[in-house]
Amino acid sequence: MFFIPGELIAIVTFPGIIVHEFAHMLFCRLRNVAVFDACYFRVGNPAGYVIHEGTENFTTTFLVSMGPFFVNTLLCLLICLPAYMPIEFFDVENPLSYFLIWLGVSIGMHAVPSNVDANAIFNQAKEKIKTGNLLAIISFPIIGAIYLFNILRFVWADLFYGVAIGIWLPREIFG
Amino acid sequence: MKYIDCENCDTKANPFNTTIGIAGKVYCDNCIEASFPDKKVPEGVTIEKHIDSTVCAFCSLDNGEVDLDKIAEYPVCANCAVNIKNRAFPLWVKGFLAFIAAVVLFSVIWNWRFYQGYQYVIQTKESIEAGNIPLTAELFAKAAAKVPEQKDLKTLYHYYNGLNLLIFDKAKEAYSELSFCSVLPLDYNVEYYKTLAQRNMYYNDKDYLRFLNTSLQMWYGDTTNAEANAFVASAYSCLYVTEGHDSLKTKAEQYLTKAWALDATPEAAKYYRMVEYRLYAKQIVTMEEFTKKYPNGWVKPL
Repeated sequence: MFFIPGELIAIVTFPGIIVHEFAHMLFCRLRNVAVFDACYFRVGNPAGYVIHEGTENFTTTFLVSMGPFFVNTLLCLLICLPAYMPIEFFDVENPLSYFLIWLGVSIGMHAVPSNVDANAIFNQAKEKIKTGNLLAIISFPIIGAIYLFNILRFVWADLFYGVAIGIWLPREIFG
Repeated sequence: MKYIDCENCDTKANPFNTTIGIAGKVYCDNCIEASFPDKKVPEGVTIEKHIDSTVCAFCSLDNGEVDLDKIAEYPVCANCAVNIKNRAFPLWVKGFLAFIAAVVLFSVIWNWRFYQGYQYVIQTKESIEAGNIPLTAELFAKAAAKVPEQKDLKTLYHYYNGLNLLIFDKAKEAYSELSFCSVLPLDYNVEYYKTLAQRNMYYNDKDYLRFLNTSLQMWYGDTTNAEANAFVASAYSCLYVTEGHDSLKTKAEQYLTKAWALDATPEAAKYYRMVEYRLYAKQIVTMEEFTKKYPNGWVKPL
């Protein structure tokens, strides 16, 4: 594996960052969570952020933190599906298909929440689990997977995830 | 606005917002700069950012001595509260998302023909398994019309249409269709079917010598094939009827005997009986004519 600066990756995959922050913001709005500040893309660390109020509602915390996972994954699949068919099945290549694959994979690469998001879920889940909250129970393996995934970003786990959703999944769907 | 005295330098009436509590002691702006120039405090020391509950944390509006409502731990004026609660997506983000949605929609519409082509190709798998050659040809024609860039689809249409025409005894048209299929892999037996079409063309043209030659050409391809042996027998039987040499009849009977030995199923036997009938009646009949004449079959009289 070779190292590419995070800022360069962020620039190349900027649509994914915008959609990631959009998803956080979207779920904040859907769950009536006040947003103090939001940055959808910048060249820096982090490349984007949404600063919002805390909430005692665990479902809200879970949805706001996991929002990008659902939105980015779904968009990645929706964007790559039309591009997959002509290239993979009919050997028909056109620039639009490659543009869509870049767009879809870029968005898929930023689907997995950050450790900050995982921490937010974890901090509440460990309290809520005492009350038998089912979502809190389910969230523990998810949090573990997020932490592991973020470690594996060093070996391009984000790219593999984007490719898996954008290229491998359509192949499995269409055979 | 609230005010507080600095406990480090005794400066009076500092705006509460501008001070920080460090280890329980109030520091003003200047003292923080002076005491902690690198903005680092020793580990374990508590730091408390003072928030004035009468000053809006976002627009710095001074509400006098009246505390503002809070969002999280921050005092917020009425205007900022509305803005925070209803924070809208920036126009460019909306535009970007709209662009993505438009691209996806355009792409789905633009690529829809590929999905249709794919559906037709998937259906051909079933029609091939069911042995439905006319339907297979039709489906490949539809798929090729949807994805003209993929030349293989057109070739496969020609192939199955060729086979279909062969079945309906349109040898010339079948040969013409199969001539487009030379790029197909060997297991499609294109050359075999082309020879078969040629053979049938010669039969239809009553050119029985060429009919025999093409039948022999197929037989050389697989001498243990019952059909190939029966085809040669058929060709010899036609030549026998037109030329009348007994050696031709003998040849026909020899190949027919081999065919019987290789495949004696009722379907194959029907064809052999037709050849036997030609030799017996010295009359060239097609399979169709023979079946019409003897719907319950025919056996050579002893």
